[in-house]
Parts: sequence; C-alpha cells; structure tokens
Amino acid sequence: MYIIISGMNNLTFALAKKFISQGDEVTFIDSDEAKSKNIDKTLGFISILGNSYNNQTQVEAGIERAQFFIAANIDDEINFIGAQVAKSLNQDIKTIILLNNISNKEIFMDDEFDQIIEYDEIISSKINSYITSQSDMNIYTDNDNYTEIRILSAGTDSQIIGKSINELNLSKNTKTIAIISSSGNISHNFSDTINPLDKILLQVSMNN
Amino acid sequence: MKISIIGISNLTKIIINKIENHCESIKIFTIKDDFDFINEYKNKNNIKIISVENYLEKLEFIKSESDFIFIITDKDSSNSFLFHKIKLLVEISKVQFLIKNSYLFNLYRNKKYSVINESSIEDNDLINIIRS
Repeated sequence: MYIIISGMNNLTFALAKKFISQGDEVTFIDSDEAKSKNIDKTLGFISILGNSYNNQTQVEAGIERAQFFIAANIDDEINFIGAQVAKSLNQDIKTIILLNNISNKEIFMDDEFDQIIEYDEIISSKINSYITSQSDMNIYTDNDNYTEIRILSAGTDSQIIGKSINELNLSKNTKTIAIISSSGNISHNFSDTINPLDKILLQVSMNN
Repeated sequence: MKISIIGISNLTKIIINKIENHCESIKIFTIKDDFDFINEYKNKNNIKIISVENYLEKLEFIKSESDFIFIITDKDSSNSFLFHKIKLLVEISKVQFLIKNSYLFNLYRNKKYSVINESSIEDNDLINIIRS
C-alpha cells in the first residue's frame, strides 16, 4: 500500500515505522525542515518539504497513486483543507483525519472524509487499556483495620474466566465482597462462573 | 445592512472602499494589531475594528451581529476552515471567503461556494451581493 502522511510528529513517526516494517510505502509532507531532515535521516528519504494542502506538493508526493492520506498535523485547519485537496486529486483515496480539537468535529463530519479519529480518543483508550490490563488493583487501604479493598479484573482472556470464586483458591485472609459484571450488575452468588470483563471486589486482611 | 469582515488582508481595504457608503455598519474582526490600518479607519463612524484572540470562539457573536460576512484573513487554510464552520450557522449566500491558491479557488467555486480572490473582487458586484 502507498500511504501519504501530512504532519511529522511522534505518532506519525511511529505509524510510519510500522507501515514500512509491513512492507508499505510511506511519504511524509510537512513544512518543517528540521523534522523533514530527521525523518530522512532515520527512515530514509521519504519526506517532501512543503505545504500539505498545496495541490502541487501532493502531486509531487504521488497522491494520484496513494491508497491512504493521513492528515495528522497539530492544526485542524491544515488537516481539513489538506484532506479536501487529497480527495479532489484522487477520488478513490481514503482520508484519515486526526482531530485535535473536539469542538471542530462537526465540520469534519460535514465533509466527505473516510475516518475521523480524535487524539483524545487515542490517549483515553491507551490509558483505559493499561488500567484494564492491571488485573489486580488496590483501590482502598484501611490502615486502622489493616485491610485492603482490591479489584481483580477478569479481562477478556484471563485464566479465571469460567471458574467460580470457590475454584480460585484465594488465600484465607481474602474475602469476596461482590462480582461486578461489565454491564454493572452486582452479584453475591459466588458459585456463579466468572465471565469476561467481570470485576471481583475483594477485602484482603493484611494481618497474617 | 450590517457587515462583518474577519481578518485584515490586501482585500480588506478594497472591500471597505466598495461597500462603506452602502451599509449601516462595518465591523472588522482581527487577531493582529495593524496600527496603520486602525489609524486609517479610526475616525470613520460606521467602521469599527474589534481585536479578538481567536476567530472561532467569536463566530456566534459575529453571526449575531451581521447581515453579511466576509472571511478574508491572510491564510487560505483559516479562511476555508472558518467558512466551513460558519456555514453550519448561517446561509452560505450570506458569506464570502478569500482563497488565494488558484487550485483551491476553483475547487470551492465548483462546489458553488462564494469564494473570492484579488482578481475576482474587481468584477464582483459586492453591493448587489450583500443586498441580495
């Protein structure tokens, strides 16, 4: 696949590295000479210095044979107009826009772009994915009574899925408080089997 | 007829000269302090220059204050973006925007948007356009 990326930053740099390792062809367009030199030095001569909404710059980058145009500048104005020009030069191209400011979303929705991704969405999903990957998390410590309240998350591929609480071999100083399903239902029936995304609320005594 | 002009560029003076005797008020919104421009128009009763930090944040206010809007900052990308934002708020027949790049100019003209540039403004019958 041939992919043109407008905007050089950490995110697009990481994306380009992935694309190249998969055998895809990538060209960057950006008006920042220092960033352009850095890209050429690290990834090879794959950058074009110029204004990414200039039709001649896009033609020089090979927009007519590209399958994807990723508009990932930090300025929504540039992303908007750059993707419009890309679509006008190649009607088959898929345009992917990285939206910086959520209040601008409706303008992008009103046009003919193929995919709009919010930066906030990327960051929040990354944080969420990190938190959900932490299967055992302390949420409260009661220093007076030497107990902790912990959440054990089943996730989607945990070994505890399909087992009941009684089959988990929890230590004897651990007491199950409740099982919370992904839809928010709270169960105290500990013989039920654990489903994907269930969370188990535990009280753990810190006394031996 | 109340007119708003967003941005100070080469076209701003041309537009003011063409319309100032045909409208009740002209408000010019700008994010840059162009003192020569401000001094030139400060004694005109029906022309007011308003400094703003960000055009996008003032669009609702500009819309409420205007019968017709010209978007003529120095940057094509800003003009295009402001136009697309404002067209969600007002009829596109009540807005004209400046695009200097000829490819983009034709792209928008083919979409039937009211796009202007330095050469088209001379032939543009602004008085009738703002009154229509």
